Formats: sequence, structure tokens, C-alpha cells
Amino acid sequence: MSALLSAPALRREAKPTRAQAWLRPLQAKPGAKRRPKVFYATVTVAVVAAIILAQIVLSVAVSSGAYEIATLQKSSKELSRTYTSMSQELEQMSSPQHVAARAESFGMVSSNSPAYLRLSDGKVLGVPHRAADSGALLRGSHASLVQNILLTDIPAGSVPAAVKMGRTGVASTAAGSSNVALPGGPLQTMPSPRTR
Amino acid sequence: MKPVITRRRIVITMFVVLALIALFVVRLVDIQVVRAAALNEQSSGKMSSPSTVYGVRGDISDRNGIILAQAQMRYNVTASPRNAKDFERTVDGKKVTVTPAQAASEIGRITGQFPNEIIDILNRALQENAESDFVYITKGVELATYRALDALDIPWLYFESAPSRVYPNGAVAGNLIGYVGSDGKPLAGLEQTANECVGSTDGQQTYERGADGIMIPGSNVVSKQAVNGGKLKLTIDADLQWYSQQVLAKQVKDQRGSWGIAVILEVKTGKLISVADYPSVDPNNVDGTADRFRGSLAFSAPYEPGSTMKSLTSGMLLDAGKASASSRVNAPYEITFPNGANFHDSGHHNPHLTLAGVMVESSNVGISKLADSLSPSVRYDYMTKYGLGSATNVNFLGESEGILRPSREWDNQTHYTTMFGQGFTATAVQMASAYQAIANGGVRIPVTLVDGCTKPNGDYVPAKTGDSVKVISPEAARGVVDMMENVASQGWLRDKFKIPGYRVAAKTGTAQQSNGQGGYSKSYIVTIAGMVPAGDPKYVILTTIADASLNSTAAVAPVFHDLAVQVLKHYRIQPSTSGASRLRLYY
Repeated sequence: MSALLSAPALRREAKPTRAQAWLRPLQAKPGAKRRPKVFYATVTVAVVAAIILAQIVLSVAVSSGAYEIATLQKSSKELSRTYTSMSQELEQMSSPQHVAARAESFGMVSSNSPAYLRLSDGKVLGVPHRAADSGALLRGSHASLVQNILLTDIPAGSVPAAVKMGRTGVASTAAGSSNVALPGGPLQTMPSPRTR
Repeated sequence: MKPVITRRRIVITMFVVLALIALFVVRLVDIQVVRAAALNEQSSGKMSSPSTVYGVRGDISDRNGIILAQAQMRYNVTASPRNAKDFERTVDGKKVTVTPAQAASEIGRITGQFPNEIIDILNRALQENAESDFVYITKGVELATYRALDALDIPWLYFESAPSRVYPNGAVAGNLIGYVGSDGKPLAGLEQTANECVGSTDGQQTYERGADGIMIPGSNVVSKQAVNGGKLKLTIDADLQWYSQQVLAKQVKDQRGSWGIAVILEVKTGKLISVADYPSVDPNNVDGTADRFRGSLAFSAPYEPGSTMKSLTSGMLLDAGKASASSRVNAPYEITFPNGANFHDSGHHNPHLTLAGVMVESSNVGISKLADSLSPSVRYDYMTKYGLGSATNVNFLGESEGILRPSREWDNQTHYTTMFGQGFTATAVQMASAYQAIANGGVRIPVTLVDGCTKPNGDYVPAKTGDSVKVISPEAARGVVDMMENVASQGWLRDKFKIPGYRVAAKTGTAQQSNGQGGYSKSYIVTIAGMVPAGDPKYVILTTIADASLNSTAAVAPVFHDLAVQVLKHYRIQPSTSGASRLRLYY
């Protein structure tokens, strides 16, 4: 680069002899040579300093990123552990043993005489009959006979808040209005012809 | 400036530079080559740590996706006995010294161990080895326990991951699913036979850590990729399975029976919807069940089926055109055949029976006289087509084929007893499968228990199903169902079979069982097998109780009835009583 810049200067002084030409630029124009030296040295040092600084900044950024990654990974791990453990608890709560026990604690019993109301023509299919008290499966000595040791931690008497709310909700609708919307269940899934 | 001085300076500078370079090279070679191995070892011991990446064992679910078995991470609590000394903890800004005894009582309060127990564990380890750095305090604690222990911040307490298995529905289908050992190895049931689907492989990774234990970026090397297991889907319906188990258990207990089985089979597909065994096993607590009841008796315990066999024999007679429901036979209480075979019926009845009457009265003499028109080899062929004598398509762990000897090996007595279910053995599932053939217009679809496997990449691979076998003609099959409907509507247990609004077909069987000494014991295995609804059979139900106190099929009838009602309700089968069959039983 410096050769390229100083070439025109050399060409202008081309007339003297070879020896003069070699000596003269050194003595006659020392400033012209010295200034670029300082300038380029400064640039070089500045670039090197900049590179070192960038390197330091980058490595600090990367390693502080590593700390952030580690923290986030840890919290992600903890959260997924919590998620798994909660969903497993949910699965235990929704196990048939637990659901049946809860249903019976609300006074529900299994009916032995299934009957359906056909929505299309209002016809009653089957023989509707009041569910007998004997339909209780888990009563007395026959409390759940299908073991689930995981449920021993879940007290049978405790009713989760959501269930309590659900109960009052149902009770108030039934009392407040006779036009109760049909919940999803047998009636909707019952195969019935589309008549017009 | 004189050139000589300049040159000397240059030489000196060069020499110094070269000397420095030489020094660095020596040092470099020393570090990188000579002491490389030792230094690497030293550094990696401090910085890098190989760790296991656990592959997740796949779920086992029922037909509706309800999870029956699931991987769960548990934690082993370990300690370094030699470091179990006093440590300081900051409480409310003040430093408090915690002694090992205090720490032990804190741990014990969470794990449920006595503090002395924990101190004993530490002391015993130190007695064996004064430098002991590792001992288990307790194994397999759950997440909440692990977190509570971790929050204690005891410097000599450590944890390790312990992949384990949890069964959210407990004993529901426990006998089928099986269980895994504490080391994660499958030990029973589908966990073992379907390991190809749900099994996982652990991987390994190495990364370098800084002094504070944080991973150095870019240093993570996965040397072995972990492979997760697939998801296994069963044909079982968890709700019906639970109901079957509960109803069966209740009745077996009331009857003081020794064991019981209840099988529900989908007629059009051959899929097992429920296979209940009593006693059942909760895979979360395997030790709570005796060893012999940890598998599935329905697959592994063959017994002489008894009179439920008469439906199969009637099917042969109808198919071969040797008899019809109205065929007459004089069936006295007791008989001695020309070949010397002698037996009698279980009770006295009108001897002038039709084939339908033979079924309703369950007359051994009647069925024997009629089925004598079929040669033993023909009957043997029919029996094998019904699926007797060979294991089902399920290939359950420890499944039995039952014992069915070739007809040429039948002795004079066996010649007849095979017609009414003695002299050979079959499993409950084999018999249910034979009834499925009758319910399905004579075509037996091999039973299935596993629906398929969802591979980790999301592909669903349906389980292999065997080829269907045409056993008897559709007309013969319909004829047998009609006769079985008359057993339910006209037999002595008719009140127990009644389901308002539905038609029921069933056959009872009170079978003698081997006493283990070449004879028969005094107690029976009582069975009811049948199908609902009788007009268009959709479900086969087979229920069995051994050694019931009633010693008759009345002991098992409530189970059959309740399961029939439940399956009809569960699958919203439309009530229909039209076209009920009423056959003539006597002449």
C-alpha cells in the first residue's frame, strides 16, 4: 500500500542519478515517509486493540449466554418436571377407582336398566327404571377392590374446589329453571334416524 | 549509525527471539506431547463430566388413549459419609451450625425414615471404609420429596436420577400390563413382550464445566444418542376393565372363591375389550399380590371348560347337518355306552329332550348321544378350528395352549367327555374366542390384545392380526345363538340373565377340576359364556369363578349379568326385544 502511494513522488524526481535518487528522498522528504508510519502504526494498534476488545466482549457475551442458557435449561427442566408430576397426578385422580368412589360419595349409583329417549320422535327405548341402591359398587365391605396404591395419598374425603363449584352449579340450574340444556351424553350419541 | 553496530543489534535481537521461540517450543512439546495424557486426565477429571441421557420408555395406553403405564423420573438420595460433618447454614441472616444428627432428622421428616436409621447408614458405611464417599440413604423418591430434600441444602447430600415406571390406574389391567424391576428391566406381561415397542435406549454425553459447574459453550459432545420408546396401544377399554375387575372381585370374595376371570370380546373384530383376573396385581405394588397371580390367568391357566363346550358341539352338529335345534333325543339321567363309557347328568330332568332342550338342561347324556354321529377326528378338526389346542394370536407372556390330545389318543371315556368339556383343557381366552366364532356367523377372528405401536417418529404400526378361520356355517352359528338365547330365557337361571329391553344368549358350565392327583376335586370351576345382544351379537362375555361356595353357575351369573348390562350401556347398544327365539325343549 505504501509503495503504491509513494510511486508518483518517485516518478517526479526521476531525473537525478541512481545514487542520488536512492539518497535524496530520505534526506529531502523525511516527513513524507515518517507520517504514514505513525498513521499506519496507529491504525494497526487500534485494529489489534479493537479485535482484542471484540474478542473479550464476545467471549464475555458467550459465557454470560452460557449462564443464561444454564439457568433457562434448569428452569425448563424444573417446569417440565412439574408438568409431568401434575399430569400424572391428574391421571391418578381420573383413574376409574377414584372417579367411581367420588361418584358414589355424591350418591350416584349404577343403573341396571339402561333406557334411551330417541330425540327424533320422543320414543322411549328400553325399560326405564329407577336405579336401585344395590347399584352401588363400592359400598360397605366392597370399597374399591381394584387396588391403586397411588390413590392412598389422595384423601377420599377431600373434594377439590372445582368439583364443589360444579355441584352447586348443577343444583342451582336444576332448581332455577326447568328448561335444562341436555348435557353431552347418551342422548346425543344415540343412533337415531334423521326425520323431517 | 554504523552498519556494524546495526548488524550486531540485529544478530542479538534475532538470537533472543530465537531463544524465546525455542523455549516456547520446548514448553509446548512438554505440555502437548510429553505430559499430554496426564494433564488431560487431570483436567477432564476436574472439568468434563460424562453423563447419561435417559431414553424415555414409552407409554402403554388403552384403546381410548387412557394411560396405563408411563415413564416417571424418580430420585435416589445418596450421601458422602466421610463429608457428613457439621456445616453452617444462614437462617434469617444468622449463621447456624447444623450437625449430622440435626440434618438426619430433617431428612427423615421428609423421607419418612427415623433419624437413627440415617445415622446408622452413614456409620455403617464409615465402618466398612473410613473414606467412604457414597452410600444410598433411600431410593426412588418422588419429585416432591426430592425437591424438599434439595431445599435443605445439605452439602453432603446428593441425588441421582432413577428412571422408573408409574401405573396411574393401579391394578386396572395390571395383570396384562405387567411391571418393570427397580433397574427398569421389564419383568412381566406386556411390559416384557412388547418391549420392542416401548423399550428405550439410554444415551451418553460429555461436556466441560467451569469451576462453578456451568457448561462451557461448545464443549458438549453427544457420544451416544438416547432413543425413546414407542407408545403401545391396547384394545382394552380401561373403564370396562375396571368395572369387570371390581364386579368380579366382589363376587369372588362373596363366594369365597379362589380365583376368577372375566373376558369381554368384541365380536366383529376379535379385539379383547376387557380381560379381568382376580386376584389382580397393582403394578405399583407388585409385592402386594401372590406370585402366582401376577400374570394373567385368563391366558395362562387352562382348565377343563365343562358344559360351555356344548355350544361348540351343537355348532358342529348343526354345521355337519347331523342335527337341528328340534332334533329329539332320549336322554336319561345316567348312561353306559357300548364302549363302556359311563356318566350321568348333573340333575334329573325330563328325558325327552330336543337339542335345544339338551342345551337348556345341559344334558351330558343328550349331547353325547347326538354328537356320537360325528367321528372323533371330525370333532377334533372342529375343535382346532374353534382355536382349542393352540395358543392365541396374542402370545401373552406364559400363555398356555391348553391340552387337546389328538382324537386317536382319546380313550373310551374321553371319546364322550370331550363333547361336554371334560378330558381336555382350554384357557378362558381360547373359549371366549370360540364363542366369538359362534357370535360372528361361524367365522373366528383371532383375538388381539395389542392394537398397535406408535413409533418415536410418529408412525403407527398396527399389530399383526392372524387370518380368520371359518369354523361353522352362518346358519349353524345362528342356530347355536338361538339355543343359547333359550338357555338364558328358559333355563333355571333365567331370572339372573334378565336384562329389560335386551335379548341375552348364554351357556353355563359347571366343570370338575383336577385335584392334582389324577382325579377330580369336589369343588368346581363355574363358567358362564354368552353374547349380547342375542339378535345381532356384538360382545362375547365369559366369566369364571373357581371353588365358589355355591358350587354352581348361580355363583357367577351376577357377574355375567352386570358385565352384559355395563357393556350394553357403555357402547350405547340400542335396546331391542323383537324377534326373540323361543324353542321347544321337550317332546
